[in-house]
Amino acid sequence: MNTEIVLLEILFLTIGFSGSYYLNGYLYTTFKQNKMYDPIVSRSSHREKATRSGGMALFFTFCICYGLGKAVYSMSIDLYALIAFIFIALTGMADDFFSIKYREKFFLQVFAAIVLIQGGVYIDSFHGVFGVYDIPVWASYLISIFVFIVVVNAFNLIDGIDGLSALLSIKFFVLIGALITITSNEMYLVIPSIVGAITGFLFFNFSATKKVFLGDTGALLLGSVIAFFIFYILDSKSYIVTDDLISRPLMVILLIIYPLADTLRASLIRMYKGQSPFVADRVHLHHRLIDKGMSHWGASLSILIMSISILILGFVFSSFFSLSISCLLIFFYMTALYYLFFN
Amino acid sequence: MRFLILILFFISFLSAQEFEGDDFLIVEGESLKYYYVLKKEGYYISDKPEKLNLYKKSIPESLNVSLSTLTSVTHNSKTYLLYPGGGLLYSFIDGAIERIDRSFPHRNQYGGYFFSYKNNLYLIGGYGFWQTKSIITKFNFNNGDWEIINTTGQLPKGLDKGTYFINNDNLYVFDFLSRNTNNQKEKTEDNLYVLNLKTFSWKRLGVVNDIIKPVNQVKGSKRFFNIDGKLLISYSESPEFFMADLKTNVIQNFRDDALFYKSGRAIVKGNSLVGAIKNPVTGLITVESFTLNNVLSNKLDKELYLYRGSKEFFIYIFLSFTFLLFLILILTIYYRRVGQTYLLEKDSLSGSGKSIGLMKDEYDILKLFSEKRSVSNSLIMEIFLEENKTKDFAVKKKNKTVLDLEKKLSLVFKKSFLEKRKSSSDSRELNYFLNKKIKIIEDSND
Repeated sequence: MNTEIVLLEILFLTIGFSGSYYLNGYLYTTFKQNKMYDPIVSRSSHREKATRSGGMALFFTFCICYGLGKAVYSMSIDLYALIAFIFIALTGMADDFFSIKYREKFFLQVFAAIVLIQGGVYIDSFHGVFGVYDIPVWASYLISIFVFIVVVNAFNLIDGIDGLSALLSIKFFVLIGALITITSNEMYLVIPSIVGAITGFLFFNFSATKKVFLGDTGALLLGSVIAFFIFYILDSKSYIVTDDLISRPLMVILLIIYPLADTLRASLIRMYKGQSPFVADRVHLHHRLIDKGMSHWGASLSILIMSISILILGFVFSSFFSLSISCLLIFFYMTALYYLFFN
Repeated sequence: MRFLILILFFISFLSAQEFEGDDFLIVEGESLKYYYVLKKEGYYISDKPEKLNLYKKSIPESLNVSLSTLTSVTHNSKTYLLYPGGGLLYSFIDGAIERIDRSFPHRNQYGGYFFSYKNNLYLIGGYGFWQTKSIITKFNFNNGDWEIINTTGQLPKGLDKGTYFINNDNLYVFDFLSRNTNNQKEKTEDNLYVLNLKTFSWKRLGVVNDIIKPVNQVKGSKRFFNIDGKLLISYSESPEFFMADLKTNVIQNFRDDALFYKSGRAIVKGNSLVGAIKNPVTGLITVESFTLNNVLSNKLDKELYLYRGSKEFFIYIFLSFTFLLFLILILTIYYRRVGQTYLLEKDSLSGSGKSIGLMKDEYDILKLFSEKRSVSNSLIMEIFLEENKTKDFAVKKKNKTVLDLEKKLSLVFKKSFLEKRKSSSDSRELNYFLNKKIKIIEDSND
């Protein structure tokens, strides 16, 4: 283990946390002075006043950490990825302030995805899933754009209760952080900065007196950063140290299993009812836990623990069984979890 | 120890050869007992350093470059010399240099790594025609041609000035440069790559420890040798050198003030390093042989990892999940604390994700509890006393308001907020107490 790397990561975690904590408090006060509260509607899981300033605080914290990391250390991330993140964050801000239409938001997300893949990091291989490895460039682009849209919206849709989106993002970044530290001398400081920023936000998200939500800015921004790292994992040019342990596509699915499964389930239910799959309602799995009387923290923590257990089992199954058998066993485990906790 | 090394250094001069001029090449030769020093006019054998031996055949005309620019490899106890940039190949056997290829000086692989593996000679990487190359070519002894071998996997973009090491059918390469074809800007690569020489598939193994500075940032030329299955890297302008073990993923740095770093064009022969040293006064170049027995005695730092691999990954995963566990613990404690905190505003009380509307009297009562945990009955009564109403009316109104408020709060927040008890100091006086597990904070900004 390189002590210098660990110390640098702790430093950027601290900077991210401090910056986010300060900015969340500052932006909360500013939003409050201007009476910019999140509207409470029938499907809201909260009844107290809260601002949607968390995403902005995350974005600014990330900018500060990146500027510092770039100036002092060798922190660097692909320029196109940065442009895509900024574009997505601005889209989220527009949505938070003016509530833009879903169709417009969709096209803006497609544009951000196109910008992101210009950096040369995209899904160019199925890594053996269905016996397919390398795929044509046009198919790579289409699949990458599709995955970007799915991931970004999945993280936006699960942002329905306190802490859930943030905690699941932290879980993702914790594993990715370890992978990136092995692989990249430029990007490894990006992860602790983000994790620190999310941690600082969480203390406001659970606060009784200064409640802050991620808003579309935060959820879309986190989703886009997660999508970028998913591209990084699924790009055959990337070196991923877990290749001997688990298939890359399976690892990606397990890392974002809850947002994916919940979004898929909610969309299917809506379509079954003859509604648009994008309509906002309370059919999400986390709403079920809240309706059962769980607190927001209890529900978010339960889902986090369940998704970590699925991830660990995925690694264990993959070490012993083939990809298809591992997927089947994980599916059985998830079904058992559903009937035990959500039914 | 340094004294001993200095003595060894001077002893080695006793068996040294002296040359005038820079154009010579030290080659391993077929025997462990001696090495050769090739010059245009003849060659020296180390066991008879004073005698210049003439070549049995004249040097081929195509060998129109300095001998020092050739790269030599010993393959099946024979010495082969590669023309700079690749293509032309010569053998040095039985005192004669002969051209053995049917190729041409293609100038495509300057600085490539020329090596022997099993029964073949290979040339990998290099620079030519404004491009860094990651191709690997094999010399065909039957037809004298160089053949390009197709490779698969995570191919590096270009391999220039790299550090190479062959071990167990694997060719490891790191610390190399690639160049942008448009502006020739150098890009250093910080990953370790491995090429399986059986399957010719590339794999990236991880980021190399930054104790090894990139090749374009160090002074002097870089040399690397395979010594007993370990990789030795040294720089001509620095007394510090590195010994890396790729099997155990360990690297360690050493210092050698006397022997090592000033010897140029060095080769490793058995347990000795053979290199050239130029006398700054006379200008004479001396080829010397140094024993490597004591060279590892002066360690600078403790052992470090060579590259970040799976072992480091598990350490980082452990640290990451420890952090996650710590975060969950802190947030649980925090949530327990904030779960008992309620925010009082002029028209509402909110907390635990719920909110309740408040009348003015209810707000006034709760405001008292935001200041003190126990409030006397008389203090609450002050809220209800009105000039034109009787005290009895005020008492009844207070009792009803407190009772209704408590019921309302219990219904929404599922907790008992207020409790009425006799004062411990005066049994005739009643006090209201806020539940010990509840904290009311008044919103200061509104």
